[in-house]
Amino acid sequence: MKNINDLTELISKAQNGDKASYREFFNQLYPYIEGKVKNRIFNPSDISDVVQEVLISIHQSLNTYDPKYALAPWVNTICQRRIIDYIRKISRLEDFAQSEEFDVTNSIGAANINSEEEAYEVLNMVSPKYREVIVLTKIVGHSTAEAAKILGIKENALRTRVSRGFKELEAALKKEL
Amino acid sequence: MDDKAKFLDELVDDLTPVKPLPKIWKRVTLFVSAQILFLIVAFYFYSDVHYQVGLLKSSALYALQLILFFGFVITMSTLTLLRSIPGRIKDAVLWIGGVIFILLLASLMLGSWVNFVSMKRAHCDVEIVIFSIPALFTMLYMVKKGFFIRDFITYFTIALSSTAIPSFIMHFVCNPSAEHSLMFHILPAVVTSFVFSFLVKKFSTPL
Repeated sequence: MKNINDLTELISKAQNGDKASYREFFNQLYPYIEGKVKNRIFNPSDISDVVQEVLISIHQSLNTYDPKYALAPWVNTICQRRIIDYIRKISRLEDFAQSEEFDVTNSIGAANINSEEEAYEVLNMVSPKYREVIVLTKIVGHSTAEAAKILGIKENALRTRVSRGFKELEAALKKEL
Repeated sequence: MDDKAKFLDELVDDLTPVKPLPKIWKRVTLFVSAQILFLIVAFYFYSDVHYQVGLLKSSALYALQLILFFGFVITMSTLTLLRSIPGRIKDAVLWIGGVIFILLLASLMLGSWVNFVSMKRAHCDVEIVIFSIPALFTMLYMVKKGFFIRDFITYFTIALSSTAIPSFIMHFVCNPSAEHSLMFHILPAVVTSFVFSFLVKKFSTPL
């Protein structure tokens, strides 16, 4: 593909429901989006997630594209917004992980837990989906990348589960206290 | 089949013919005219506008203020809807809106109408907030039809384009003196927009 604006005809046909043109449009667009995302996101395991987010947004916003206008600004804006969303999400998760408010050890301490067994009992308050990520990362001590690999999920998804698990645990402990 | 191919196939399978959004000017015209019509009907039953009609006939400055106010309403609505279309250049509209707002403030300062205390509405500031609610929901709906960016600026422009309309109408059905207009018509619109955007941003679901 020489220029992204060359895809205007394909997207116009796709807007009319032409699936073959739509597939061709995505085939040609994918490397462009991937390149853009790679330039801005340094965690390789998150790149495909963000590319997918961008493509989903393009799919959902097809009605906003007017073929009279150049395609590049339209695609670039969507791509830029999804990258910003990703950066915000990551920084929020990092803030959350570092905050004392949701420190699992503080919560367990406040619940006056004296033994390892009681600590595991506390973890039973959390739904299994979140329990496994907390156990893997905070008790077994795996890194997020290792834990994600074990569970067969993306690192990004794992971080989200950990933070949600902490929230659930915090809420459950507050109820108990 | 790898994940990428599977993912693209899912998107392609999900494709249905899309109906492009109507032109911006059509959407702005529809939004502004519907809201103004609604407010005219609402205020018709309990407003005395004899003084303002007389002022409109005798003062070019008052007419200019109303035109500027209307221009601000149009530019704000255009800017808000343009933000829901990726890649459209919005700088020119933003500048025009800013210049119109400054000219409006300047024209208000120049106005020297007698401040008729008796013709003030009792709760015009509250009315502005209440009457902006239908416009707010309408604009929110219209923006969500496009590419919705969940940020403070989006919420602020939605709120300001909605509060600007009753604020504009209030300049005709209430006391149009500079002091009153600034304090009870323009300030409540701006403050409400800030508060609305702040609250929505704070309590909306994180990404």
